[in-house]
Amino acid sequence: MRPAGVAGGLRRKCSGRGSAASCHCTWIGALLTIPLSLLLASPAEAGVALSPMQQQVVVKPGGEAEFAITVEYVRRSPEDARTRVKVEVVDFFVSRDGALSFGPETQHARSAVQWIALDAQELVLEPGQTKKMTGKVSAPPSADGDYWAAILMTMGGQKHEQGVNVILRTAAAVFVRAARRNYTPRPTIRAVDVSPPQFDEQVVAMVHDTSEETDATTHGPALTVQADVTNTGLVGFAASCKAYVYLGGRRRLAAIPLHALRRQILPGHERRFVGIMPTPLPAGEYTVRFTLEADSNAASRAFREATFRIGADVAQRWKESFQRQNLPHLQIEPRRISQVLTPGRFTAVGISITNRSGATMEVRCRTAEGDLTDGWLDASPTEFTLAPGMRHSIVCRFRTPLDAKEGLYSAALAIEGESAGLVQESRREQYGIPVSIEVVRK
Amino acid sequence: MVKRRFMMVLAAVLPLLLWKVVSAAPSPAVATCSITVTVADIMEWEANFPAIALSNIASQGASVTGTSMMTLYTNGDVHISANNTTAAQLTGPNNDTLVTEYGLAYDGDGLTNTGGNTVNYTLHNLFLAAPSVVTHVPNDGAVEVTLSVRASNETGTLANAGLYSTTQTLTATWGT
Repeated sequence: MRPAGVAGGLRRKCSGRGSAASCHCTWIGALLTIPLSLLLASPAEAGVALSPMQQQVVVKPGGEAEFAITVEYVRRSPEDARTRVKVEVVDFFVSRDGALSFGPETQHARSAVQWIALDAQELVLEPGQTKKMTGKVSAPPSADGDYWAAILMTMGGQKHEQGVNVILRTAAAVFVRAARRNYTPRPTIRAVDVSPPQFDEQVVAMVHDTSEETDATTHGPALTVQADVTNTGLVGFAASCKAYVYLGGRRRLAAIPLHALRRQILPGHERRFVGIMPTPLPAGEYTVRFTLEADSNAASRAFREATFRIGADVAQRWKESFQRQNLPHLQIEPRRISQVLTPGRFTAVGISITNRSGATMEVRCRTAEGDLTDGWLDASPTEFTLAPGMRHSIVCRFRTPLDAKEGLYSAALAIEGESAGLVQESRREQYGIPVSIEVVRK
Repeated sequence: MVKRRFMMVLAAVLPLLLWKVVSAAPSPAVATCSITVTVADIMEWEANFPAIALSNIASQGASVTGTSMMTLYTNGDVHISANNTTAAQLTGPNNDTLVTEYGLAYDGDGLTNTGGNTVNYTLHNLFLAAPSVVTHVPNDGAVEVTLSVRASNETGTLANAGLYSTTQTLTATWGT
């Protein structure tokens, strides 16, 4: 049984706490010994839940706003003892590849760290105790646009003198918008690059080996395009990037969705978008036109071009090594959603989407058909890209009104996947996820 | 005669009185109470990772490994990043160092169970340079995370004898 708490809805997978530390010992010689240690059977301290993972705070320049963070020490064992956690407001930086780093070395001009005051920095929690922390954001009068910081929670623990100590942290983002006026996203494509296919004989052999299921990430030779996108504006935006390949500068031959680990680009940050197309191109001179759109806003676009050449020998080898993958490229779980809800209920269901192809894919999702009233069902995100082998979750939220009548309602989620490939070929796949809601009064 | 009249009046009035009493009683009613709870997105390490024990390195070419496992509770996609500075490299007497590599594995693949791709042994300064993505699968709010460490001597040299230690920091952050 899992104790109730903010994390009460999460299914517990393992019952044991602590580790199964295992060691492997190699005694090849007794010439020298470097004792690396023998550790250390002290009981682990229990975990603490942090919620929510990220939040947006809007504040007027010169004004104040508040937000809340919930910290809960979930009781799991009678032996659980008082624990100590450190909570701090820190800067964070998102690298070009989408990796987050935290701490003073990531300090930047749009830091919200100095604006945020938490009502506690160090918490001592009893088992089962929940602490709701309040953060106050005080924006200076000169504030303009987006600022950000992270709430970093570090669990207490004993440091051992030997071996590898492991510190666990959880970080939640706080994005602050000092709303002075309406903002227009300002994306710029700073640099682009096109890499022709590389022929690694081992990979080509694996792709051709049909004796067992090929790992989608082990794709064969492919055209790789990349664009480095910079945010030169005052507000963050979600970018989507696509490359179109033209033969001889005129005829559009292929389309390639580009993927980045984090589409949200904060002011001053740069992100690398990468597109992979295994479908072979014939020999010729090509132009690639990169198109970037910010916040799905046609008014906020950026373009850039690059040229490349595919020689006759490369084209021939590419064609010979290409192994066409059969549809479907997207693996979707679950394939059907059924909910029994009472009026006034709000709940959510996740859908996992995996790209099983060797190409980057763009995925769009919308609610379709059925007899649901507006507002009962929504899904987010509605569009994203997937690198080969990558997975992403869509969250479907159900909200039945208080006056909902009993009965069975139906709808569907329409999911469309578009993979990188030749425009003359079918690159789009359509999926329908039936959704049924039974409203009952209990 | 009086008695008979009294009985007739009583017979006429009594049903009326009874009806009045019955109709005045509160009728059965159904009360509906709608309770709505929003479960926020949550991250929680079940507990601290126990420190990882490594045995002795007994020869120049030997390497030793150790692992530690912990459950991460989440109801959304999460990224896990690591410290890839020199703080995560095993350091010993006279600041001598060992080749320190880390790996990460999950008990789920992010498709049928919450989890992600295995990260093979990677040098400490490159470990999770691109974060590891934990994909949440509906109705599975827990993933077992196994951190592995491998230590060895630099090629062609031998580290100073003594105790070596380091600290690795794993940070669970919001997903995309």
